[in-house]
Amino acid sequence: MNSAVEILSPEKFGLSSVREIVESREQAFSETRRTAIDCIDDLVSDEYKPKIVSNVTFMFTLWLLRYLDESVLTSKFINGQRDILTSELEEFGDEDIEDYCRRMGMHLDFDVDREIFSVPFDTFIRNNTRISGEKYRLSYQPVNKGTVYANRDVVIKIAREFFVKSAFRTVENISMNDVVDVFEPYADFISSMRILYDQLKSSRKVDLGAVDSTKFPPCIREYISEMKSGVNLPHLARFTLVSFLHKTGMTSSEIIELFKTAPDYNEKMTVYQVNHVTGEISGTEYSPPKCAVLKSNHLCYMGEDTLCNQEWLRHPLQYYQIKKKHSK
Amino acid sequence: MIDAAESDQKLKNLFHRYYVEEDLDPPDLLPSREIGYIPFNGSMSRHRRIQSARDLKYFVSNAVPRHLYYSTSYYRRPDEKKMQDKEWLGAELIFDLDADHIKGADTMTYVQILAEVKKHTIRLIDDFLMGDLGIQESEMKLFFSGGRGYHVHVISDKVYDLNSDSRREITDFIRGENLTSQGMISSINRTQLLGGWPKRIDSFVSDFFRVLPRERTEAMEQLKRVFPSANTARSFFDHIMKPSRIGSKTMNRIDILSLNGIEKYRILSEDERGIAMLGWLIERARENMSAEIDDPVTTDVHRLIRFPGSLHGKTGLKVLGLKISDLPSFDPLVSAIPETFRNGNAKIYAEKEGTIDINGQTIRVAEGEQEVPLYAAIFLSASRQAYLI
Repeated sequence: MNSAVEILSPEKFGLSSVREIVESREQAFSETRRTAIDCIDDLVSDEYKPKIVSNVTFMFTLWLLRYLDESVLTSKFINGQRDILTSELEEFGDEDIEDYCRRMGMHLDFDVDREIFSVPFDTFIRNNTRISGEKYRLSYQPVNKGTVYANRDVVIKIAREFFVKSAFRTVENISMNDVVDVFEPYADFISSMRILYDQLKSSRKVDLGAVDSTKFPPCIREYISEMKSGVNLPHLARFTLVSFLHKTGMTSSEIIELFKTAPDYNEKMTVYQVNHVTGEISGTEYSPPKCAVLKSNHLCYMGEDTLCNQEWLRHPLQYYQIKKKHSK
Repeated sequence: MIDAAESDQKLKNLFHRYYVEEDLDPPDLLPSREIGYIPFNGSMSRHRRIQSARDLKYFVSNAVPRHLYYSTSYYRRPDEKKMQDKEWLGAELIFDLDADHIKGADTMTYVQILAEVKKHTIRLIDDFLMGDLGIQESEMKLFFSGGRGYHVHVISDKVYDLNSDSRREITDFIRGENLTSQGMISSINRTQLLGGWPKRIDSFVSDFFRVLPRERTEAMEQLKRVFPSANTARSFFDHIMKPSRIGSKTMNRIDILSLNGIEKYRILSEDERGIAMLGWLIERARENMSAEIDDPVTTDVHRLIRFPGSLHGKTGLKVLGLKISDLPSFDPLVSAIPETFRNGNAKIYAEKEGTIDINGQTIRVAEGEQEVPLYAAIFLSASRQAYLI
């Protein structure tokens, strides 16, 4: 039996299921949390690549998306999962398609002898309106006594729309009070994601207020102190530092000023590099790399820092945004 | 001297009498409906909520609407002014059939119009709603509109929450919209012949070729209607008289085209002539088999429609519910005359002579003053063909 992602009913996956996942120390649940958080992070950073997830992870991600409350990101996620579902259904046998649709609450029958699906006409017109092409219009369907007779191509198209509608309805029906309550440990994560998303959306700097170096994450503090103590920073650390400082609102000349303390300071080169990273030369405003990149390049200095050790923390800027928010 | 205002006031008094003496036929969940009306003097008033049949009686007896409407939608708060504040809960699926959509209606008499609209209403109910969509008789309500047509309401869980786009699929389907020869050729398969338009078109095309004369001069009479050029018509005829293979057999193309089944699409897609032929046949099939409905009424999920049992302000006839099985023999110009207006006479003044067919008789109207049956007087004054004096 083939499997494909399923939307679970509120009875099967509701507030208590989400609470269990949030609070559990079990490996499987922490995997769910990690995958869902990665997914949100990728969506926010516009790096989302749809991949197959379990039903529970899918549902948990929908809950997080409800909390984030950004319809564009919710759509991106649901549409990505829809595309995976479509390719999976295309590999299914006809009876497996029938099974899957029924489990999802879409009532149709497959007639083995005639190799044809019977779809109630109202199910058909509830789900065909966004499918373009003449052959998907009701006028072209063999419809008799309330039944549309359809081949598997049509049924897969209808099923994918049904999936999208049900997923959106599921998100809409999750109570905001419930998500705020259950995701209390993720409040900082979500608010940092919102700031990051706003930043990306408007492609300009969000006003983070005056630069406050005491709120910098351990990595950035380490780079600055190393530089001040005369250590030569690796290229990636330098890049991270410049792009980080730029995003916090420091001007290019302020950043250049800071680099003057570096032992290998070369004014021409530094000006060029800073202006490149800040977009003044390149036209592209670079963002600092994610924590994962810094870790694999041995440039992470999280140590025992509580915030760095949150499983949802993904990005140095996220750290800064949260610290700044709490100091207000 | 004729006083139009006085005639109008007399008509209003008669409507008042009707609303006092007779009861309306409220839709289900009346308190969830928006009520609107057009008074004798003034413009449309909307966004009313009426809680009960008793309140309704009180309301219509006092307001005396010239036209009375209710929303086909159910709302949590029907009396809110803004649509988003009303909170839409669902809507009946309605079909409005009237003279406006009937070809050649402008040269028909009222009686002919009613007969033609009835034909389309029967087609809508029998072929599309019951036949294709499987709607049960118990899920439908049928009304004579009091004017020039009929309203069909589908009242079923299957339809309440359909959005406007889904309802558009239904109207396009009933009108046979978007059907093209290329579309049919590219989508046709055996399954498709199980129902709906593909099956209708299949029968229509087969029937056409079955009766098409096998003799060229006779066939040309028909084919000249299809092809603007006689040469093309002739060459198409010659082409279909030639044999083609079907399975292990060989038959003349015209005989393959006469069979029910998808083989005909192979023949018709052989060249441009066949495609044009199919396009023409699809158009004729639509003309003969679709039902002319007013789509915006069906696709609008906030629509107001005439209130069952209310009077139509332009005829004085009532919006009358009837059983679907009674439709073929139904004569609105007899049955929709309210009891209140059946007896007695009234004096009218007509500016020009004419005749009207009402209550199973033809009434001659002379120029000037005269006495006619009350219902005729109301019909003539409401439709502004005479004044009540």
